[in-house]
Amino acid sequence: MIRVEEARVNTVMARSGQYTETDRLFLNLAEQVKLPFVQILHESELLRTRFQDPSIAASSQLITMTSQSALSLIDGYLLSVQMQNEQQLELEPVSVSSAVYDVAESLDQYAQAHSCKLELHVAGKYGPVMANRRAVYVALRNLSSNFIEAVSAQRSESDMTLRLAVRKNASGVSTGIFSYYPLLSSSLLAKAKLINGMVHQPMAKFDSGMGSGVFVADALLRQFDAPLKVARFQGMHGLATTLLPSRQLNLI
Amino acid sequence: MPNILLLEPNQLLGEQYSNYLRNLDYVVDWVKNAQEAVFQADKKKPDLVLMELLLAAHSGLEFLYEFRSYNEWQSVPIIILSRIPRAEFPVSDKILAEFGITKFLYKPETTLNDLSAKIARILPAKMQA
Repeated sequence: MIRVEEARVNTVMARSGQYTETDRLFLNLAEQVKLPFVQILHESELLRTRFQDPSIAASSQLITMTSQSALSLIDGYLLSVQMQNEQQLELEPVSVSSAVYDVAESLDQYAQAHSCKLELHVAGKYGPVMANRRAVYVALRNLSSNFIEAVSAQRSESDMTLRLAVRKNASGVSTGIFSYYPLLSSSLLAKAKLINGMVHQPMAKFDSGMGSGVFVADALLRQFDAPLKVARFQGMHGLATTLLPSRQLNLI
Repeated sequence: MPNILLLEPNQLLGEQYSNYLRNLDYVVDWVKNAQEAVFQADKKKPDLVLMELLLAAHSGLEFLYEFRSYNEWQSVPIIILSRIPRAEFPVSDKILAEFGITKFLYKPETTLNDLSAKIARILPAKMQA
């Protein structure tokens, strides 16, 4: 009889290269850290149901959102390490609009809690792209939550609009998140990628923290040759990726 | 009241799930390992099994094999509530169907409210059958 964890490891090993010792250590750590966050999430939900007090409900909502954000980051990291070690990526046709809708829905309250307004721009029809749905969703979610935190940490205007956008360009379907403030430049992003993990604030002009959401998103999107790039959209500034269309499906 | 067998090795999560479900008037028998689960199932005849796959000493799959090997437990619905995402679980949909897994839920993405809604959808139908 095969144990689940052994079977899982065997499966991962069979389809992937060997993880380095550091990868294995951090994979293990990341898996372990998920549990307390799940416990916090549930405890916070229980608090909301037990007490009708609006202040408890508001605090509990904040705890829930923060825990979800942390879990999403951990999941993104795990997925990126696994994908980097896979010899053959499992690609599938993915609707970028649908992933962006889901991200906007999951982060709407998180944005409000940071005094930001999250808008969607998904006008027009876009064909499917070849990617991995979970990876695209996790990448965009982590990128967007990091963007929300970064904008919120720098600004105190009551209306801080962020826009999650999808549009077509010459290479494929471009999607990203934008704000009215030019927080990042291409050179800053390139430098940040070089010093990531070595300093506490690799993107000090952008983010007061480690910028992990951006790096996790970039690591995931690079698996589809679609790294994050500094981009502009309707007078706004941000980070975007361009995913290649699924030509096979477009022919149908 | 519907009887739920909860197989959850983590103390804090086990308490959270069982307290929450008991507040919704389910009878919950919470056990931490596969052996206890078989013993408890024999004693209490659960209407639904809610279980983690990553257990200590025995695996969740071993429990599933054993549980489904008894005639009287073949139609008991099983919900997997695991910290392994479905995509990473090394078993095909076909095998899950053979085990009679009704739902596969990923813990970080499942609120207690979601969980109770999924259980409520399965149990009333089961209770009327």
